[in-house]
Amino acid sequence: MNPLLMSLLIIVALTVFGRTMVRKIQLLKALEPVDRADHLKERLENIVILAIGQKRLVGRAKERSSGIMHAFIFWGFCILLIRSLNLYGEGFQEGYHLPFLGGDDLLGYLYIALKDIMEGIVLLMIIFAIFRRAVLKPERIHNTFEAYLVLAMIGTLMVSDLLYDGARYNLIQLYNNPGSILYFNNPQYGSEFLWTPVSKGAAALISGLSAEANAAIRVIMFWLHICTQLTFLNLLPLGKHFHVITALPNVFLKSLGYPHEKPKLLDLEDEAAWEEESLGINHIHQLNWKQGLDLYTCTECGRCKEVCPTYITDKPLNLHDFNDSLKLELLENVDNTIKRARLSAAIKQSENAGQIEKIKEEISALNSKKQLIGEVIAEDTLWACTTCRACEEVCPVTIEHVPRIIAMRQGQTLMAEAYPKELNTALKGLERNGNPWGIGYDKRADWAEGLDVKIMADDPDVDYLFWVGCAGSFDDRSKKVSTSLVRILKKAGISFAILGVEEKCTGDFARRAGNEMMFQMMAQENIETLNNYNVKKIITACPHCLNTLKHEYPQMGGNYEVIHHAEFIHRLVEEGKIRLKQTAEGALTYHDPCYLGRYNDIFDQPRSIIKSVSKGGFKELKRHGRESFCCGAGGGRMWMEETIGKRINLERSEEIVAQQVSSVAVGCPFCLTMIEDGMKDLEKEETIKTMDIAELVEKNMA
Amino acid sequence: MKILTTVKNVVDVELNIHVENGAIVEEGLQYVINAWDESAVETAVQLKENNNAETTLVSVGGGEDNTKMIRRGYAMGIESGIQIDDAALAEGDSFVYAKVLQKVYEKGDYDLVITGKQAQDTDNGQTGIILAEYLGLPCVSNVIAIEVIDDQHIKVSRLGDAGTEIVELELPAVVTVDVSINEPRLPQMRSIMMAKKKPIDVMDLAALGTSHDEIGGATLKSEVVEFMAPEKREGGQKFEGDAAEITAQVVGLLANEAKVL
Repeated sequence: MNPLLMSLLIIVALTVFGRTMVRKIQLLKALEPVDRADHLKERLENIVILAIGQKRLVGRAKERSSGIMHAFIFWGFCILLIRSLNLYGEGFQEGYHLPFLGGDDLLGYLYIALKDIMEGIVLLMIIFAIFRRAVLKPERIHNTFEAYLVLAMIGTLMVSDLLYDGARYNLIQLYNNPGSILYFNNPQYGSEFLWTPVSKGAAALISGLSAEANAAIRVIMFWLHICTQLTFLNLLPLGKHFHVITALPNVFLKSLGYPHEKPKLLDLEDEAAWEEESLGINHIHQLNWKQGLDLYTCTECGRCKEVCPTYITDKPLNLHDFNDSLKLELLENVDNTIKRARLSAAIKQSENAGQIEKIKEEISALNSKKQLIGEVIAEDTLWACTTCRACEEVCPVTIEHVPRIIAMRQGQTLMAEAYPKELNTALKGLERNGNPWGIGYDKRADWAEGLDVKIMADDPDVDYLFWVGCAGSFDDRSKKVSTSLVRILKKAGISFAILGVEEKCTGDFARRAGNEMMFQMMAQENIETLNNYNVKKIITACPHCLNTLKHEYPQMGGNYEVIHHAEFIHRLVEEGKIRLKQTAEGALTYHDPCYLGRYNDIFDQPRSIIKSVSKGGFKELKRHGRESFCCGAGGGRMWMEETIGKRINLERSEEIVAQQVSSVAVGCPFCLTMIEDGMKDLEKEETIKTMDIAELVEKNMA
Repeated sequence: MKILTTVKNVVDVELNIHVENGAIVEEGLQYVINAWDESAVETAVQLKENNNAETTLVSVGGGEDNTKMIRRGYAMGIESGIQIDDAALAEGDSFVYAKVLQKVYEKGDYDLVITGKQAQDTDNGQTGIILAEYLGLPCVSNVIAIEVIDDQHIKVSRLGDAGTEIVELELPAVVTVDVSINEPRLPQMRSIMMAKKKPIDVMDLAALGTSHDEIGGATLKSEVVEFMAPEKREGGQKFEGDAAEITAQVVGLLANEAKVL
């Protein structure tokens, strides 16, 4: 149309965009390193399923309408991009099209049809989106000017393209193509307008106008489309719609193998790390680049807070604001962070001690003026998290909230020695007696008295180690679960032993509370004991122990096959070593423990067991499976009072009560305590029994 | 203000203590800082932080457990530590330890001695008070709060028989504290690492300027004759079911088996 104007627009837009992006990338590069260059195939699969497939948007029943809306806008947008390339070409050469998309190819016709229909759908979706924001006002979203602006721009892109085509149609069909516009016309496929019903509709709207007016509309709509698109491109990185650019890379670069980035094994002996205060996250520049990309990508959709047990129960942790505060702090420190990275690189190259000292001083002057914890994120906010991962499971762009929170807690505990002091009792118990209750370590195997359970020290020649865990060893209620499991294992003829007094807490809660020192102390001693007995296979009834033994001990040289008892019992049933009877009275339900379900993908086996023993059927809770609701005890919260808002276990217990079941099954000692306490608070402990899977099986096996 | 704090290494009473032939079975036991002394250390450290006090900690006894305990004190914030390590101290009672502490006190120039009011192993609750007597200093026991008035005076609250008593004291003085005075801090990695590097002033009795005889080690005023395990209580009997039936059953048992009716 106008090669000069087109060139100018493209050059200006791409220059501005390029400068913005270089800055954004520089900032990411200045953040801490993390390796995400592995498993290309899996990463591409994630792109296909999560990003292109929009799995977490359309896949959730609760969010289906907004999910479908977003998915169509996204797909429509992707499809329109190809058309846009054609239009840029048309700026230089009338009738330009990409290869295979012209009038000689069927593909050209198919594409133009798809594009046309998608534009119509996107327009409808935009109208729905505006209606939803303005009228329905879902609680999770914030209504911002930016949101409306972006919707308006996408709408403009669609309308301008449709009117452009409409005017073209009118000029060709009504006015004998006065400007000799090139269009698809094929003896076999017919005219392109046979394939574009929506454009034809647009054409009808302006068919009453003169040929000149139609010609003018065509030109205006062309440039409006181009200008809107280039402006849109430049607006994206400035706000939450940056996700349009970063979401795909963010999904591509997500953690694999474990649901999120594992807590880093910190080198606590590294004196330089203490001096530089580089353990954990205490400053915004200590985020790693993927965590920075997460912040770029957060779309502030609020799905995270909507499923967050703390937000629902009125705690101060609101992940939407949490991300937003971190993003603002990161962006406020762009210059200093980039400068710091340059200086750090300079230190590595310098050999002059005096110069190094000088650079170090310069670096410490570059710290953010704000305390990360206290000023950017409030203490209560940081410590509210139960690490349940519900937020991560629903995040459409796979943002990892929990590792960041744990790293910040590490920074607080290790560097600032600022952590909730109410944890001290449990930590001291760990230090002295290897359990958070602080009960004498020599009493650890007392529960097994009279059960004729082998101790590793006496007979290490067994197939399985039964890792009892602190709750199973010391908590009166959970001891019954240990007993039930022992009876099941014996009945199935499994050769197993326990460690007895040699077992210690795995260190799970200490690590989640940021106390890496205590975690490593526990892990080191346990791994020494386990390796000493050459333990290969471990059965445990505690998902927290399971998670730590299975995923975190390998960081310190402990590699074992770890099996949760629900999984193991399920296997025993399948192998016919145990026969279940449908003798459990009343309807049963199941509360998914976070560290068993979301962390370790065990959802089906417990359900299969419960269904096999239940006489009155199985009822699913409203929030279940991947979107199960935490009991409130994870992340060290078991050892802290819950003083703000409603108690999480109460919220969950009420949900269970509403299901009118006679028993709720759990697979975690913390859940057992929390749910049973909730039932007591609701005075329902007599009518709704809280039972572990093992107890249920022991009572209902032939 | 210079503060001397005393710490005792005691058996972890969370453990089962077994007795054989009148003596405690050492195997499997572990030793920890006495809880009341831990509170005394915390009190001293808080006085350091809030009132610029200088803090010294003393432990009577040798071995790794005692060294670890002093390092823990350092990690909590104590500035210097003294360990009295002498084979002659293997046997001793409150009088002996108070005498040793008296010598330690006299070697320094302390304004305030803070001890735990008792130790969870013997639960005697004597040492601090005897030390005050030996030193001729005023002593307040069972203290739950300390407030510094000036360099020469402190105000303490103690749990008395009738309620909280508030006492003003002229320094130097001895106070023995209750665990309720504070919640001792849990030393974290950074402090623990720094504590590892600090020197400990280890002395035997001679270096302290005294002897086994002078501290009364040869003429102990009290001695442990024998340890006995407490009798094990039999588990009770639980009755469930119809109230009338149970009543009859219980009355029957009380009359025929227990023979109390």
